[in-house]
Amino acid sequence: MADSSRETALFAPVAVARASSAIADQIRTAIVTGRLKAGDRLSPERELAEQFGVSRVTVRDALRSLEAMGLIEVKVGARGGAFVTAPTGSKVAQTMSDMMLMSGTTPEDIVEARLIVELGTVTLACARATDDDLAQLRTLCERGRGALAAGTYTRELSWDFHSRLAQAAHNDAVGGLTQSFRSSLSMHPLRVREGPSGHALTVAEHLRIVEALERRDGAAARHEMADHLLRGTSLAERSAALLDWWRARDARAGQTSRRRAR
Amino acid sequence: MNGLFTPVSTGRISSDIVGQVKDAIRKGRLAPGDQLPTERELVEQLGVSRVSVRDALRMLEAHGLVEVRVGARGGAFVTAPAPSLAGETLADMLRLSAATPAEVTEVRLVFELGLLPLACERADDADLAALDEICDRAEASLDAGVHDVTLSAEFHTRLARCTHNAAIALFAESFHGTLLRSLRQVKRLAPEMGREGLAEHRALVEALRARDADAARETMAEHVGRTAERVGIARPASVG
Repeated sequence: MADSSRETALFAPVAVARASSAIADQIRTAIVTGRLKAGDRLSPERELAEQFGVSRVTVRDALRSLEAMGLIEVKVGARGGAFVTAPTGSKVAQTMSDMMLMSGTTPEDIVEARLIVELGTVTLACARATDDDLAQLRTLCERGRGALAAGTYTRELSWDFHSRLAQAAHNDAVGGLTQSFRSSLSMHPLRVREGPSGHALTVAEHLRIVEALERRDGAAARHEMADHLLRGTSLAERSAALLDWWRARDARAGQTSRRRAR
Repeated sequence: MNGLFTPVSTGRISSDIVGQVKDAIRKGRLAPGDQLPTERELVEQLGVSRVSVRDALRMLEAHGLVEVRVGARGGAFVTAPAPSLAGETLADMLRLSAATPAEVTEVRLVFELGLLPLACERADDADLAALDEICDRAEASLDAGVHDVTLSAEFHTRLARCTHNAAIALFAESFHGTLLRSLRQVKRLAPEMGREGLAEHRALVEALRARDADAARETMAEHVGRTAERVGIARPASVG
């Protein structure tokens, strides 16, 4: 082979980083497919090094990246070792907001995605919310009203309402998504002038959403949610196609149910 | 790049370094493609051990925020992570948190149906051509007797990109991994699914071309619901 450039292309330098990420991938796959479960302890570094046929340094690198991904937790001491963890909501949220940060996503993009999810959330909650869910959502509204009167209302209280609403959808994946919006949007608040008057509107809108859920009125709940999320943003125009579609659909469904009632 | 980072004092030193780098990215002082100072320079600037710096770089790499290249022109470079990597990470997390496959499928339905009015409005000629091309490849592969399930996942994530919204694309990618696993199962159960699925994908492209969100949603609801049933997940409740 006289062509030396071909030779260069044929063989890539063996990177130490490669071996560690290959190991991390294998362990990750075992966790994702359920062969390793939360609470399980991985074999000690020395044994892993033997199993994978690599040095302990390489194993340690792999464990470090799994730790950074929140898949394992390394405890020190006599009962220490690397344990598989169930990632917490905040960890999911952190990862999510890192990704949003790096993929050139704008806050408007996130709110539009959130609009899709939250319209689904209220629809599911309308079908599934228990009396307890509704009572707790009302309690959060009352608490909001109290904080408003005391001048201590914060965005966190608003997010608490949305997180509790996600629970009323009785789907943990909905909860996970809501949590990720909470984290990524609290870093980029979209409504810059969220003063006391804005908070008062928020509390009133939350209450109207709860009232719609109590009546099991999905169309009204979606309508209130859309108004709530879009108020004070430039999205009403941008996302018009989405809102128009829902309005038309709910109007058709309303006609059908009125015909049936007659 | 002097003065970009400040010496760290207490706590978990490597986490602190990671936080500083993230902050620099967030504030735009570091952009994709930028090279970080060398390990030795970071050790000096930050007043920490080389082990801490290496740990921090490893964590940043795992988060997909930097890429470590080896060789003469090597070093740690700030990356724009591929949406697929980001999506995969999110999918892993959603799957590992308490969500069941049925719950993930339901959220997928909420999301994939929900985005259709936007996709119908915003899909341009390039988007439609790309979707056609994926369908053509799927057809060619079926004609050759191969049912390539990765093409279906590719179709769904490409469709989400018709919304021209990076966050929506990211979420769609995150369902991709789960989708692929469920599709592999489907293929084992019913090989004829490939033809049926392809016909539904073609119908979706036509609905997008006609900007008919109702038709698109109807086709998608049937398509996702059927896939769910085949893998033993209850057909998700109506999401509107």
